[in-house]
Amino acid sequence: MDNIGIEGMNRVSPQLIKAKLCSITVFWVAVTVALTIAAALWTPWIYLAAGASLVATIWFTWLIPFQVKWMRWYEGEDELYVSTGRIFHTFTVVPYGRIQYVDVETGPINRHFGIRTLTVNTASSTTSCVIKGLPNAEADALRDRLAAQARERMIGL
Amino acid sequence: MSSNDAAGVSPAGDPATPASAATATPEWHRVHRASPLLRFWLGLVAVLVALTVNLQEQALNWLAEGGYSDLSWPPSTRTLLLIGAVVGGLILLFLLVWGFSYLWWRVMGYAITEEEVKMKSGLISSTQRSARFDRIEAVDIVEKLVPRLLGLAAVRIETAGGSESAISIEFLTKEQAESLRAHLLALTSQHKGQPYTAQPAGVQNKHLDPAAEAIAAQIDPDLVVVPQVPIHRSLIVGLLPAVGLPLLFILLQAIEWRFEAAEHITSPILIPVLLGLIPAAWKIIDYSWHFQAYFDPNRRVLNVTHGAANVRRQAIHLNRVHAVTMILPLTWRLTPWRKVQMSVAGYGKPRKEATTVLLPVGPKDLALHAMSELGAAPITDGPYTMRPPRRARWCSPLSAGTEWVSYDPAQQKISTSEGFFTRRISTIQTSHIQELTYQQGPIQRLLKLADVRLDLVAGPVQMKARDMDEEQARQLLTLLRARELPERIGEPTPHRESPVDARPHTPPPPQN
Repeated sequence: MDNIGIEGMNRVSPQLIKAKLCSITVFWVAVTVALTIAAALWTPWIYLAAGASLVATIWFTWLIPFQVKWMRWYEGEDELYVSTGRIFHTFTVVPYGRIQYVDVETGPINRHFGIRTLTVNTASSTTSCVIKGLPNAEADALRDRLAAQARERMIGL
Repeated sequence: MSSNDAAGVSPAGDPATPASAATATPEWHRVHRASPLLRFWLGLVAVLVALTVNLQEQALNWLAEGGYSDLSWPPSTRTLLLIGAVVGGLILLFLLVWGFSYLWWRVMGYAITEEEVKMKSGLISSTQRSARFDRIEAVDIVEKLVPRLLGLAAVRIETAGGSESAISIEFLTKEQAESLRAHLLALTSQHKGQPYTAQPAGVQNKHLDPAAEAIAAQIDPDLVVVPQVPIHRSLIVGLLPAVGLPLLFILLQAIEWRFEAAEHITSPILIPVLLGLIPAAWKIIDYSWHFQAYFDPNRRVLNVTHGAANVRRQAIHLNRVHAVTMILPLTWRLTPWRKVQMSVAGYGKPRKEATTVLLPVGPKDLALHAMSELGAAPITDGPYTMRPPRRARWCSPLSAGTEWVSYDPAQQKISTSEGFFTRRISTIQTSHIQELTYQQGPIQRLLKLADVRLDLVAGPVQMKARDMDEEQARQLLTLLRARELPERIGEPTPHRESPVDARPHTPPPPQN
């Protein structure tokens, strides 16, 4: 449950790194290029913004492998644990009986890399139980297991 | 209580299908004839205003052509003709609209079957909504301003599906609405297996105004949770935000005096702010007007009545009330008053129609009394009471001194205190906590602090144990994970290889 415990939790697929690179890095590179072109066409002042955007690109790209490394999940005896982040660290505990429904979704980039996103929804409005980057088969299997556990153990609000 | 008496004309039942009694077409009850108009009265008024504004110029030109551009007395023939045309046109328009509304009225109705209550409406795109009795959370009577003038009311049914699935039966006469509500509450209790007794006879009243005093006089004092809120309290808290206005005025005058460029800025800034405060003030005053809350004789349902222009009466099942919070907003520190709000499962965010307020304004003693009547008195000295350590002042300089969390496993309740400018003390029974989240930002990490957030159902109450020492936060998390949860209502999976056994085999995290 603390950092030591987090080491024992399941990791997500490294393919998520590539998927995030495709979406996040491409986005920021596009912004940088657009700002550079705008700077060349209009005033040199925009180079400042382009510079900031370049820094953002490098920072977010460098951050991606760490983010993915620190995304963990684990199915406990009675609860599901999800941990994200190290600098901004969040550790969520969801009893199986509180799960209302489970979503598995995928987009075009994720589909190319064979990973899916699983979201566990409870009756609470502040849900942070999202596991990204699960390989297809594992995502479906986890969803089935969670749905079975939730159905068996469903408790009242 | 026969549902047939609770409506206007019911369309003749279909005698030709006795064999389909099990799936018989439900008997649809009609609503009041004026309902379509009332639903769209605002739109009709808008159309009327638009017509008037557009035609008045032409009418005046027509008058002027006749050489009579001023309205003199006795009125000339032309003026009389014009007035006659306008009045006649209005009458004709009204008759037309009334006649057309018949088409809409014909397809509006509600029905009560074995399992559910249904409502249908809509001519061009017809809508049918139903609510199963065992899913009904609350049945309320809503009297908006214009229907109330005609002696009509709407019955609003909230279900567990959330705000979008609420059914509103518009409009019935007051008596019909009351008896329908009582009937639905009885059926709901029946389907949920809870005993139900009718409301005390005194509550049924025939006046347009719900006559809050009459209700108050006839309720057993034991059952009162919040006695009627006096009007002066509503007015004072409604106008409290205006306290900052004199200061703003002085500030603006000082700026005007000091800087020549800023001439005459006081009025353009002050007047819009003043105007902006009026709707907010009205909202608070209307909401808390004659607010009172009392139990039904079984102490299972909390009845709340309140409102000045829009009168609302609502019944909330107590087992749906999850968390309760007592709030002291910044401007209220001038008064000895607090407000109490609650999160009701199924109600979602606070809305006009669904009350989540237990006490809009009242002294602190009354607030604590109301909370304890609901079983949610704040716990201040439980066995696990934690405050942020001194070093928490580095990251939360203001609120570190006032935050705390207190957990009593014996009572299964936990309370938190949060906030500095707006102080909140919240309580929840631990079985109602949905998820637990342990959070740590970078600064907290350096200071070895952490938050534990309690994820609850959607509502005005949010609870977080903030800036705790790391070890204490983990201890709290472990304690809360061991909380008792409600009984299972799920079905066991049929006998086959359970997918649970197919989990990937990884070693469990080491226990700490």
